[in-house]
Amino acid sequence: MKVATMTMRGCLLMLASLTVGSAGGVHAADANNPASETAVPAEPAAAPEKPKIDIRKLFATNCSWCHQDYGMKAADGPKLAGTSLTEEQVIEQISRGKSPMPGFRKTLSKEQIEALAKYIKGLKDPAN
Amino acid sequence: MKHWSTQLTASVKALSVAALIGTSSAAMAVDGNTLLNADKDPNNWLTYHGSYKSWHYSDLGQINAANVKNLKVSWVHTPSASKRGVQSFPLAVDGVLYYTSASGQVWALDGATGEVKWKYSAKLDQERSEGTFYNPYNRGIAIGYGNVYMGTTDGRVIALDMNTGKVVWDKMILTVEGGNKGFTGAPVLVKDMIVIGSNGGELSGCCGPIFAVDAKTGEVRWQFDTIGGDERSRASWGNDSWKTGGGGGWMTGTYDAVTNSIWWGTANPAPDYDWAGEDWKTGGARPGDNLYSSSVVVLNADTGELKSWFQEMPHDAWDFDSAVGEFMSIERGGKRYMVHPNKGGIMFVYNADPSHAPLKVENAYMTGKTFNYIKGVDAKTGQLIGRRELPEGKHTNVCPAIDGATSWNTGSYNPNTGLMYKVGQEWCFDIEVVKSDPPPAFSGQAYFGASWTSTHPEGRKAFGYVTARDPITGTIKWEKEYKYPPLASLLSTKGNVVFVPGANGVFEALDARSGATLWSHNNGIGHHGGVITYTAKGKQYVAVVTGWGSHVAGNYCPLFGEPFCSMPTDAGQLLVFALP
Repeated sequence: MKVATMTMRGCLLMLASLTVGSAGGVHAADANNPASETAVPAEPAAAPEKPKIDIRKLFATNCSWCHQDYGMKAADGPKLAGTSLTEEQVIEQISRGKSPMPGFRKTLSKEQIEALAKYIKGLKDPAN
Repeated sequence: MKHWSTQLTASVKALSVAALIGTSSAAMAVDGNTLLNADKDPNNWLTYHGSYKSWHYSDLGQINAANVKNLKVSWVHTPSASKRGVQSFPLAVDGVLYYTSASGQVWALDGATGEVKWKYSAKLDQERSEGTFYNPYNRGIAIGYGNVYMGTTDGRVIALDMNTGKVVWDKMILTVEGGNKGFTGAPVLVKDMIVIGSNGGELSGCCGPIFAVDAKTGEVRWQFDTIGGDERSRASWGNDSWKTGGGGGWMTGTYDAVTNSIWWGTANPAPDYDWAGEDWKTGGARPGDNLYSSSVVVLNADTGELKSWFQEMPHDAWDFDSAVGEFMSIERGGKRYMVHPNKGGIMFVYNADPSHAPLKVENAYMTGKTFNYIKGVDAKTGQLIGRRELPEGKHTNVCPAIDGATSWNTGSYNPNTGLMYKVGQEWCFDIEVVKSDPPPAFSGQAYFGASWTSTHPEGRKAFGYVTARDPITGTIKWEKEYKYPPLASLLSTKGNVVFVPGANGVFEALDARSGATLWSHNNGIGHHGGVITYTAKGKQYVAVVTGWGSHVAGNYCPLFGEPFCSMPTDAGQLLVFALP
């Protein structure tokens, strides 16, 4: 698997490339690789003053217990890539949960939830 | 102890009478003394592990290796809530079957017909319950003093009148300020107390408690904190990281009357996973051994005071709890042993004498097959050999995966064959560990940092097995391999039958002596709960719960495809079998 066999250095590059501004600045990842280096910041690096969101870290520390491979694989939770939900519906589900999925509105900020929703909607299902 | 001995004698006499007449119409009085001899009472199944010996064995022999091929469905009960399947162990008292289903539902059924006698449905704090990864699991109950006892995902213990289902008391036991820890495991009755451990190894916060609650009033008698409760523990968590350290004891332990001790397995430390790598003794999120996470603790039953312990996974870097599985109490050659599986695929054989501190390891052997997180275990000391750390970054082909080489369900020990029967599972994962930021101390918020993908072991597909072995030496007598690893508990009987509830829904009876398949029946959906046997009106029954949908079960669709991808995760039943 491509993602899994990349080097540590590559991994850090990916993390850096996916570090984005919190004010709606998160961007969709590449179709078949959520950690693709093709992603570009939506805003100049110097512009945002708010704390930046590392989307992979945010996903890994909140979502990965149930959604494997950064949302690309089904497990206890469904595969997120190619979800039929709208971005607004994804935001709603992350916020309020849908049993047995917990809601995150008390532990994540509005910006973090929006960033996760944008990331998830940017994942393309390689099967489609 | 004299008081207890006197009652014990009376209790044994009562049991003997009950055994002679099969089942009595008068309700059997179950108390702490009754359970001391539960292993001598095959008509009933009185506690989660069958008895304090935790053998999951029955002396019933009406159903045996010669006639089990004739076993048929006698009756079926479908609970009204079974999200993530039915994961509990039924208990049987005087021909009445009691069991729980998802979200704190309790059922009392006629053991011969399935007729519903009463039902109770807990009103849960849904926001708290659904704030964890473990919702809406409920893995069982305890019975005693005329009550049925159940823990809830929102941190309560509830006592119900076993004849009516009416609430006797309902107490909030586990309060986590702003957090979401609770109870999913079954409580166990010890003397006149209910003992139950909290979940939350992956949740930030002190202290992963185990409680003893007065069985008659619901008042907390004592609380043992699995992390941060004493200086030894605090010193093993650098930078006061015990305050966000997880821990707990989410499955059911046991009681050893010989030493008046509670034996309990504890959960993993948070965060899952620590990024420290080789520097874990001084660096990372939780520098040090992280006592008493991923350990066995032995407590004074009357006070909760720690008598002894053994940390099976010092600084657990893999989420290989000690909370899983059972404590099999076995005597051999004048020695008393406690045999306990660890999720990492190691069987620890402890000397049952807790005056050794830490516990004396008499033997330790690997039960897993494709492991590479360690090179092995020292049989004489129980120490891990050749750790594979998981520092920040990517790691491929780590075996076993987070799900372990064995999960939370129990094995069985048959004193007639001298064999222990246990399931095992073999798959791996690719994981990327990231540095997670600690949530507020004591918050109960999720605390982990990694993304992973389950994978097949190198060179072959994921697989599972049931192994029959000498529990003390580990010598294998026979083994049956399964395409789909069984996740449910096992039951063995005097009739030389081992019952194996399969992952694909096929319920099997194996010959306890050889592993030969004697009978099978497709229950239509996977199993990852309990199986027991009992009598009602003098007839032997076998009861098994079905349903699918735990975190571990979630791996089966990506690893195996069908039938798991289309297997519902909101269905499950109680099926009861008997001879025609």
